[in-house]
Amino acid sequence: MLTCWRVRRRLAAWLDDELSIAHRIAIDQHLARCPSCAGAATSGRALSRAVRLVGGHLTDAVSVERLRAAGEMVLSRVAAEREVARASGLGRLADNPHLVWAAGAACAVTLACALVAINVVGSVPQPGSLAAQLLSLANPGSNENPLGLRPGVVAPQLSPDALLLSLPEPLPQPGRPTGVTFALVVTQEGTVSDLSVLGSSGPEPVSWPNLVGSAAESRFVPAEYRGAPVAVNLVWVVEQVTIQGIETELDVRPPTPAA
Amino acid sequence: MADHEHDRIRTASAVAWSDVATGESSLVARCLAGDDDACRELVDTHQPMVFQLAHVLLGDREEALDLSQEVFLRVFRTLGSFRGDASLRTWIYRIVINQARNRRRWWARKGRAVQVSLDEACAATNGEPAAPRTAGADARLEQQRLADRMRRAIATLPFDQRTVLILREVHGMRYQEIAFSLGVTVGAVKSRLARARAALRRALREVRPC
Repeated sequence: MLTCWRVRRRLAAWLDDELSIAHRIAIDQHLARCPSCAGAATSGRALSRAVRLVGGHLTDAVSVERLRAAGEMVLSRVAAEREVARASGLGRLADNPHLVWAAGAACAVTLACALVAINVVGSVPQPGSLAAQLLSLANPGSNENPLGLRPGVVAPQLSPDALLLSLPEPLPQPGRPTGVTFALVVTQEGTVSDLSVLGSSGPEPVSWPNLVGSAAESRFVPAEYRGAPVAVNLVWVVEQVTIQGIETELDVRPPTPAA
Repeated sequence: MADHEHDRIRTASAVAWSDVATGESSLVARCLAGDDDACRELVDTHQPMVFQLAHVLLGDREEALDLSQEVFLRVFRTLGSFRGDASLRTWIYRIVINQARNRRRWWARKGRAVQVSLDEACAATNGEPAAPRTAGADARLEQQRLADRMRRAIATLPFDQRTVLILREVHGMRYQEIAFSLGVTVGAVKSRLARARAALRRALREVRPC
């Protein structure tokens, strides 16, 4: 329960809305049942209203117009000071030869760095260099970084005009297949690169150069990934089987005429 | 009850201490970058309040106009030192108060009366053409007389008390903002405000309507 003395001490803060909610509620309750303190509050509010009238009557039409003119003067003065400061700053820079030389040197170094940067960015990296390796890693499916035959990759097909591989003589034993296994890369253009022989089950080693040569000149329809041609690593098994015919007697009697 | 509601709404709409907001900081940044539109916005926003405060503190319209120009020149020259510790308005008011105090000290040194007479303002209002004697015109005239009387009573207050009273009642500033503008503690603001109100009541008893 607040006493009148305590309420009067806090009345100014209550009028100025600077009290906590709890204190405000307590004083509200006290004012509701204490006519003397309520009168003091009303008097305080009336004084505040009267003081606010002073502010309202200061800005008449003439003052507003003159204020606008004064504002324009301030803005033009500020703009002029800014211009003067900028000009004097440049003038001081030009007055000092050390600063001019330093600025010129800085400009020259900047220009040289820019030229070097443009040269580095615009040039093609040397094969085997770190830049080339980074470039190939950044482009999976390129000829330098071929893909494996993973899901989604359409495997390359031998094109209709591909060279037919001819396994060397002597022909293998009938029913016994002769084959060669290659490891190769089919490029984005369908050509063969990085060809190597993994193993064989037939031809003599002396005949391999011809075999490898004809395989290297083969043409493929390139592999595709998401509709774009990509280079792929491939294992290519070429096998030749000799089939020996069996001689049988055929019934060559003419058909019997119908009765 | 209606008065109480009015007071509550008015103070709630006053700028909160946390309103050192992004809008203000961006306006300051644009002014510092030399944006003319931002400078104009800053002047247009704060100039009426600056003039009001200067007028009450100095008691002279011409001096207040002159001071408001000086204040904004100073604002633009020192805007780089505004750190956002308070709202821009509070920071500008601090400059107004310091400039007004310096001007009054200068007047005191030069022998000019520090308490400038506001008779001119009263004479100006009395010299207006007589309005039609309607109920609305009577009320307006009565309000004008009360404002003049109040202005003369406020002019009798010491500078510090007058400043704190105007910042609180006319400009609706919180105690903490007033404390920042005056460079004093919140306790000092409360005590000056209490003394100012008491002195104003006494002065109102003595000041007759002009």
